[in-house]
Amino acid sequence: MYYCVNSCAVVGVNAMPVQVEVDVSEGLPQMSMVGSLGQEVREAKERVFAALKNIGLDVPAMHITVNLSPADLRKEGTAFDLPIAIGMFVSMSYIPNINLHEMMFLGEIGLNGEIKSVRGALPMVRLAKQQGIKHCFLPAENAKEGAVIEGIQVYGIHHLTELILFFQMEEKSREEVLKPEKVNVLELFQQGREAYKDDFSQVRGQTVAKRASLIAAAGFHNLLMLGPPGAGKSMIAKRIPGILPPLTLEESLEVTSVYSVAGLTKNQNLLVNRPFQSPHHTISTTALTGGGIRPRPGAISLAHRGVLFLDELPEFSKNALEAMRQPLENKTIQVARVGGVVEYPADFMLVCAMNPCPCGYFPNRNKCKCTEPQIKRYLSKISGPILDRIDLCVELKEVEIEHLQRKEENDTTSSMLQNKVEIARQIQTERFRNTEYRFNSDIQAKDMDEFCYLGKVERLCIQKMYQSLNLSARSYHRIIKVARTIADLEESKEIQEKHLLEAGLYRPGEVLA
Amino acid sequence: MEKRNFYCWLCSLSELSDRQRIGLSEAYESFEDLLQDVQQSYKDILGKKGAWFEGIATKLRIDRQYYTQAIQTQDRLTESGILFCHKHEEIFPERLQNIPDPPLGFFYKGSLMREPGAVAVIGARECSCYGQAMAKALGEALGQRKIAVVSGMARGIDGIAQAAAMAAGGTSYGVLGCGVDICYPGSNRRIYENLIQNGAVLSTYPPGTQPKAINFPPRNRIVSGLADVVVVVEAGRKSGTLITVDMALEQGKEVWVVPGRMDDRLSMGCNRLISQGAQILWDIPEFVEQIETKLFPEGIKQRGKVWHREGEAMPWNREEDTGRKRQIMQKLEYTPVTVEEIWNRMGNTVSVGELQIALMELLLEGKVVQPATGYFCKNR
Repeated sequence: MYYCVNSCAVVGVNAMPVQVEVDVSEGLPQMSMVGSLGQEVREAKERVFAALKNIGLDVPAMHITVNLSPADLRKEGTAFDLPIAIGMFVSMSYIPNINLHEMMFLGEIGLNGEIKSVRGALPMVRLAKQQGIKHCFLPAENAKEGAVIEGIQVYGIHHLTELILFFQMEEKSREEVLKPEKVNVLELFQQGREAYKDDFSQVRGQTVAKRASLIAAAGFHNLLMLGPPGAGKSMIAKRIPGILPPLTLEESLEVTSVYSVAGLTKNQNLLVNRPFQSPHHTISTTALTGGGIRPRPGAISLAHRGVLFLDELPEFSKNALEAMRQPLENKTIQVARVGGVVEYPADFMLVCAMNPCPCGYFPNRNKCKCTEPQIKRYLSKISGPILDRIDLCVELKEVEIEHLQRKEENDTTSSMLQNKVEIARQIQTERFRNTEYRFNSDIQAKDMDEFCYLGKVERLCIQKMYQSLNLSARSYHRIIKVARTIADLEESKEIQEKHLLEAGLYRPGEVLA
Repeated sequence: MEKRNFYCWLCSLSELSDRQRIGLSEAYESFEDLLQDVQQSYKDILGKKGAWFEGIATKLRIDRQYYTQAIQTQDRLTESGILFCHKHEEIFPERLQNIPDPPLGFFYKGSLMREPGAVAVIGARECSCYGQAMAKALGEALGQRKIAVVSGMARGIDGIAQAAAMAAGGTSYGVLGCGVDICYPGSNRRIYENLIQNGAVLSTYPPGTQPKAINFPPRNRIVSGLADVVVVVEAGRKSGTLITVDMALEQGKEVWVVPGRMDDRLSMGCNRLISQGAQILWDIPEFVEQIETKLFPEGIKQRGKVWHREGEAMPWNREEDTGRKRQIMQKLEYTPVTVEEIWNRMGNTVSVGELQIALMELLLEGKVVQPATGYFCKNR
């Protein structure tokens, strides 16, 4: 008898349908598996056999053939254990004939019959829905995540016996054994936002850095913070996701898919807050950009739609930093391996922090004893192309005791800032309608005149800045882009002189440029 | 001429010390003298190096090519634009003549002029913004009065003072710790070129000598030797600048010191010198007037008046803008501070945005400078 069970495999952050075909026939008692299988998929045979034995089922002495189709797609991962087991159950008539076309199974099986979690549940359930499947059976740990997709029934199972019992019941009373998982997405978003405790009001002092963060968030500009250790650079960076506009459901699904594929969503439904990734500076290039023999998303993809924070920027390996150039430009990263090319999303806001010199106290010559060549060498570790993509640069100083002790009553909270950011974002959406741009930071030099019109006074102003501050062509454009965002924040149609002047202050200093 | 060739050759032997060169120059007039000396009296002068010098002398005697090369040392240098000057020449600076153990000669690029006065402006390489501003002000004032500025062309105070003096139309002399054909530090290339135009770079080390750390302290003797007065702008407690001061005192030169705050690391050396009796340079015009009176007592009237002392005594004490900018300028010093700090000093009376805008305007007007991203201090 031949049966076909629906399942799927993950490629990149997307799922591909895979049919698990099981045939049980007379012949030598053995089990053969075919269909371009990875090592862990081939091992499914042993796991399934042992699990069947341990839950008290006999495997008849027949020839069992398992084929995973399409046969030319390389199958990896442990999610095929469950569909193989189901195929065998059905062909051995342990469960009555069920409507397999309407169902999809995913899960790893332990030797005692326990169902263990898999990676990539969310994109797989999403695919199932697109394929018109009505019931999806997932490991209990992944069920919450899958249940976010509406219009499909998602069941979380703990043990194989549960599943057999479920199918042996009458259709009406099946709910007594297993209930489909239900998730209220709106409530999730609500709860997630309430659980987000990092607020800008907790940052004492550092008004300038806060202002720069606001501008950066409003125009999705990349930000560089310079300052001595302990000034609050990490603290501020950590709060930037909280002032970016809230994730939409669509964005949230995108983010969750990446985390799901990376296997980081256990017992979680949806990621409803913008992600914040802060890899240590010893991170390898592969871990940062994604990849490996079996490609996994890297830190830049885990920061998709959120913030990637690189503390101690000059300490990162040069290769790792250089590898970020393409994703910073294209907002995706392509990882090419022998098995094919996978693409991960990587639309993140880059926030970096570093000391102004090796000791951290420059230009305070009372404390800083670094020589000029030392400082130059330290700063030159960051390549021009990376600096090119950083629009705002801000300096932080150590917090003074008065600031720590002073009770600041109505200090700026994250939600106040977020409101401002949202207004600026709306203006940008309006401006860039029918273009490929989304934010001010995306504007290319060729379209500068169209989107960043400067009046006569403003032209003179930037001209003066260009001359007296020794600007380069690229910092010239950066200043105008940042000025555009400042103007948006003030809901001003035109860029005014004051916007340009303020933007000029956030340019990376001469040593860096 | 023969004498000059001989001295130039002596100076190009980097193994010899200044004193040994002088000794040899007193014992012999020319190459001929040296070669005819059968008693080998140079052995008394040179001590341990006698045997080595004997080898050189022998080589001069028997190796024709070596001999020709030696007597043409000066010509070859002149071809590459390097000049030589020894202490018996008219052109040799008088001030250097009068120090204990003057060098036999030195190599230079540029021209040696006879300025009526010369001031050595020296200080730390890793200087603060205060030091930068003071060095610049001092260099400018001296340059305007056509008083030569002598220094070591190092990073920091030295280079800043020299550049400012030349920009103000004055002359300057850079005493190098390497050969004059080498620009060290490389970042001072522009000053180096400028010095050749408006003064000279000079060195007692033969051309081609690399900038080794050990070469620098001895050149400080020449820096102070070339000057009438030595001014220390910024020096830490253990600064190398203090070596120059010791040399200057040995040579009987006057030492002036720019005072600083007690807790400024880079002023500790300065303040200590003051406590030991150095003159306090508290006001640049007064300083200029004093040294002018001392250096050319008869000609002070002809040289015109120094600045007005009242009101705008210091050149940077100009009339500021009214209103907000004036308020900001009052809060600024020569120590760089962050925007945040200025905002706090102003008692948070304006918004940060407004403050930034005003600062940027001041920056464009050149009234403040930004030594690092986000930091501001007064410009002079």
